[in-house]
Amino acid sequence: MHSLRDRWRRDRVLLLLALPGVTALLLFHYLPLGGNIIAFQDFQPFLGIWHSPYVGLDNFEPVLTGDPVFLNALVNTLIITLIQVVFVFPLPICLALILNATISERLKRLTQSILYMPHFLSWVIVVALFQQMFGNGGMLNAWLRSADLSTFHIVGVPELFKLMITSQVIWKDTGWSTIIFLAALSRVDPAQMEAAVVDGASAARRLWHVTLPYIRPVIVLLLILRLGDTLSVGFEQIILQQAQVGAGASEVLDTYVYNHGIVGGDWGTAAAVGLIKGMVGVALVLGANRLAHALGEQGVYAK
Amino acid sequence: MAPTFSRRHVLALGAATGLAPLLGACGDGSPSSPNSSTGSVKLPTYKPVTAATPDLAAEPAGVSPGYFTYPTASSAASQPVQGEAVTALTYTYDPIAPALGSNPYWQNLNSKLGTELKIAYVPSTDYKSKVATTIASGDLPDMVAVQGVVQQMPAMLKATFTDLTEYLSGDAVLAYPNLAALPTDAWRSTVYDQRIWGIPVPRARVGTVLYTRADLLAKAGLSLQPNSWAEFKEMAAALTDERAGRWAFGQIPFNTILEMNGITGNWPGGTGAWQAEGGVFTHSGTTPQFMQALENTVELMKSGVMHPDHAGAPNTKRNAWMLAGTTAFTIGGYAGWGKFYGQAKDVPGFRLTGMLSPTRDGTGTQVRTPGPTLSSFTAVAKTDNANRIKQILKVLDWLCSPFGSSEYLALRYGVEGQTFNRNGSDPTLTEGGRSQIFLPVRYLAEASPVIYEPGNRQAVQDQHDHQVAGVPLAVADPTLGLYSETAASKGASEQQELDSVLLEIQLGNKPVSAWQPAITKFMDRVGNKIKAEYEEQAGG
Repeated sequence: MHSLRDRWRRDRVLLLLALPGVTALLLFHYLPLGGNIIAFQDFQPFLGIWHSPYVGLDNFEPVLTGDPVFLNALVNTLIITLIQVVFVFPLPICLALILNATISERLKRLTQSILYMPHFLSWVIVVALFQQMFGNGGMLNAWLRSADLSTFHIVGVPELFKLMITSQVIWKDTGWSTIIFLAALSRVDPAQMEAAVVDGASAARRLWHVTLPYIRPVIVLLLILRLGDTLSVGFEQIILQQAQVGAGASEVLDTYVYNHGIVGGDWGTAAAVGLIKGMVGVALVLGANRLAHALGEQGVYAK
Repeated sequence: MAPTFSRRHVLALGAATGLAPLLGACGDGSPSSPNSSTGSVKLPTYKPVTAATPDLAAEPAGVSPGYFTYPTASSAASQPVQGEAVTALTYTYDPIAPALGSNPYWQNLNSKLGTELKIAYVPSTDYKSKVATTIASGDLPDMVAVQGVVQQMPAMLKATFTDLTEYLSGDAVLAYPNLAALPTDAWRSTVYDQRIWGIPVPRARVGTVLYTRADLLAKAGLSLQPNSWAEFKEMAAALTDERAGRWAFGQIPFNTILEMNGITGNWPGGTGAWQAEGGVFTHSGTTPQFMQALENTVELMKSGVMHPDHAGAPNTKRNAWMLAGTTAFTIGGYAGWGKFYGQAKDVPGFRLTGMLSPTRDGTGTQVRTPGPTLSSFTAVAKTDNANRIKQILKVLDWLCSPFGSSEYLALRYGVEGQTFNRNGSDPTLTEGGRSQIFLPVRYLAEASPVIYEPGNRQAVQDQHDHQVAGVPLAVADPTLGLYSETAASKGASEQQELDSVLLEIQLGNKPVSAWQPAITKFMDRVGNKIKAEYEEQAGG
């Protein structure tokens, strides 16, 4: 073991390089955490954090008493979370496997570029695009109407809302999410693959016994990280489309916090709900990490 | 339009209030409210000033004067203000203006004013937090624009700003002739705890307008003013042709439907929802007429006269539909009227009028929701220095110079040949002038609005006609000048839930019967308390 001084001498350049990042993290991530104190205050912006009166757990009332508006937001969040973890998360893995199996390097590059592009569009643009294409007055329906066919309402139908936002997420981010998996796939040892081929393993067996074990740690890592912010189901995306279907189908915890805090001025309750959401996120990360350890994976950090 | 008063609309206000410098109606005409909160303070005496005779008179009371051409500027009515620089904090809906050094408009203003005006300003969306932090820091400029109602407003004003009552109450205001010309109802909104706390930036009382493409209605052979709910529906159906991609409305005309059922107020937001009779306050959401209006809304929605993508469409899109003729109507604040002419300059035959809400069966009295009385009021930072206060009031008085005066020309157009040129007598801003006048002096103080559309007689006439017909129908808001702490601190959050139920009903996701439990919850949580607070102030 080196002494602290030796380590400082050895690592000081690296430490200095890390300084700006650490400062930014402290300033913009850790310091604002202190603001969570307004969850226990009757916060009034004009009085500020220092002068707003403390009200104990009053702000947690909607959570504790099961206010229907809050429960609606919670249920919607959980459903969307489930859909996103079960259906959306595996998609980039499949896509990466397909891309990886593409022999033509040029075709692969081209496909990748096209698939990455939607990621760089902001939600405002993506939502507007969907609206222009599938909106009730959009391209599809305008065409159907002019051809005297019955129109097809997708936008503004509460029952289809979760399906619609999930499709938007898939369209926008699946391509981008393949990057890490592709990087992991490039680590697969060609010699092992060749050996498997020589041994007569079928494509499915090669996938199962060679490829997947190589990328399993990455999958587990990303899944745990995903679970951490799993309750954040796309604030911007949903708030942009909320007025089309109403709060019943579209209110999630994030929009609940926005609508009650920033729009409604009930900062305390909004902060309380946000705080609970954060705590659930932490619990999920720690729990999933523990599970990963139990299964012999490395997880986000080693034991 | 989103009325300035409601906190929840601070974010949305941007588009509406700021865009039409010369528009808006005001005046002292609106029926006065039964309001004893302002009863014991004597409001400033009203004494109009005019620098030029209007082409269309400011009658009946409350209607703005109309001008077809810009009057040849008369001589200065007020003396320049002397003294040291005055600092100010306000908001803007426009881009940032060039700094003083490269802004001849601003330099000219300072030299005419005789006092250096130092203005700091932020976009309206950030203004609330800017004011909060400025007050918290304790380092206030001389003048601060106070927008909206915040929690513990009376205490905040008392702790931070100068009580201007002795300088402005009753005849004292006559020392500042242009301030005396500001409408009485606007002053009412500057009173808290029986004291006057600032100078109002007055706004049109015309309120929200159902903007109507008169040319499209004329082409379809329709009357510009239906006279009953039945005629209104027929008109909407006649304007709709789904196959051609045309619909009557791009937005649910809910306020119009409310007014047809005899209820005033702006929804969502619920501003102006309180009615009073004999000292008893009632929230209009609890009335059977409101339920009736909800039924009517659902009926109108089902008839297919609404643009299929109306839900959630932003203002800009709805306006674009109207301009393109995809819809025949759009709904917006009166202050935005003038901007449509610029946007529609390529639309042949474009003519815009305002439609009034008929009564249900075509008989009885029509009602109309008045607009907010002011955009903000400008308060003076706490000081005991009487001379300084007088100097600041003189500056504000100068900024309120009337249409037609040479000060007004300097305030709105700047320097002839540099920031504006004349087209006949009409001033036209130059390219540089257009950006220089973004300096938001208008949001510190300005005169009562007038109707003036350079080179467009028809536009002036149409706006004036709408005011003449609409202003006398306005039903006074009984809460004007009253302050409810519950409404200011807890109201918005409950209102937000109410609005969300309203939207679900309008979209057809929930039955009309869902309203009853929602409004009952609202009344239980805050409504009854707000009612008691208003009644106490109004009665005691």
